[in-house]
Amino acid sequence: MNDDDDRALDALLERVREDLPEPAALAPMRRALGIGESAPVRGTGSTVVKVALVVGAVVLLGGLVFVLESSVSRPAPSIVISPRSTETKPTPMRGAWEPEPSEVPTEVETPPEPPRPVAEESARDRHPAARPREVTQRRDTNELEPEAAILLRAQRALASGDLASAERALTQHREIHPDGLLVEERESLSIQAAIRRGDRDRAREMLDRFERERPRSVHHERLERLLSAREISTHE
Amino acid sequence: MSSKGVDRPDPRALFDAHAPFVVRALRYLGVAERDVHDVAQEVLAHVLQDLPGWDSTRGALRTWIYGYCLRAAANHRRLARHRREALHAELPELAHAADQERAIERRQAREALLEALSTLSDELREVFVLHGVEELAMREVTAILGIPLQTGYSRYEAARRDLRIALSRRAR
Repeated sequence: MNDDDDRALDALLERVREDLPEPAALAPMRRALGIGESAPVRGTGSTVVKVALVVGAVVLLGGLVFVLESSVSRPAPSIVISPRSTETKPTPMRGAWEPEPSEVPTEVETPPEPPRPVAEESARDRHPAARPREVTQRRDTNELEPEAAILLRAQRALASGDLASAERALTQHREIHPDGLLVEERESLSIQAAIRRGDRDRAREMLDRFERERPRSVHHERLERLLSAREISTHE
Repeated sequence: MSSKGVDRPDPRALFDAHAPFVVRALRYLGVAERDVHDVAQEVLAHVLQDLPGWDSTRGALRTWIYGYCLRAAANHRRLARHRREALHAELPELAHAADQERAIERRQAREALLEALSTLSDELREVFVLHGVEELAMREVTAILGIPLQTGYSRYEAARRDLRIALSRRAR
């Protein structure tokens, strides 16, 4: 497939992601749902409203002064703002609006054979916490094939300069085979992608970590050479 | 308060954070342009109604909301009267955008993607929109759809291949 087509699709997606409705366009929906405005009230011509706002502000200021004075002697209670989790907890949802269960998919493209039966893979994906940290299970050569196929795709994309496709493939490998047999190769390709991207600091950080975690890796020398070459060329 | 979950947002915060994405997701999941805001309102009404039952320990709020979007879009597509519409012919004007040039680019991108997406099966379209447009992690996508991770990636790659073909035909 043409790399230009792939890049064109990625560029199109970037523009599409910017295409979000303006707050004004959502105002009727907000009203219909009975949700108050989040922005402060503006443009009210009523004198009564303006007076009420001024009085409110004075009262608030008074309150603020009081709070500030009292906080001199004792520390203010901390407000804990919990960040919205973006972590995936891939448990199927339940509820009246739950998506209907899909039939066993018939893929247009033949996917590489999964390393385990689909049911086992699925169960493991649903309970990542239960996944053993150390890989002790027996592995045969069949397990290597799907891993290698993904990394080969990443490698080809890197070679052709298609960084977006390379990074997609690496992410895919990271998600499907977090503890795979080819993790070292994946990390090496990730460092190469960072070097190609021109992200020297990130590449250096990744390479240092790689060398700490895998001191006997055969990739060190080549990665160091690639990164040094990039560092020299950017300093010139 | 329900015993399930923690950090439940108030409706206003939920609306501000998620309504724009609900509208965008529904549009690319195949809801006709003229119905997008109505269906989005319906989705958000259900989400707000069911919010006390949301269990934050079982997944991100965003993932949960996209599940509603998928179901609503699927219902919408199932109705025969919505089928085979020329969606690109009914896009609203973006006349008041501050940056007209960017607005035109976005509009053209929207038209192109909608036309290309209409060539995909629902299965491919759902995976592509959630992962490619809405940028949900594939694990989240496959959790919503109840499919294995590998299948999610296979569908995504198949969708990309078909979209590339459709877009390159359109460009000719």
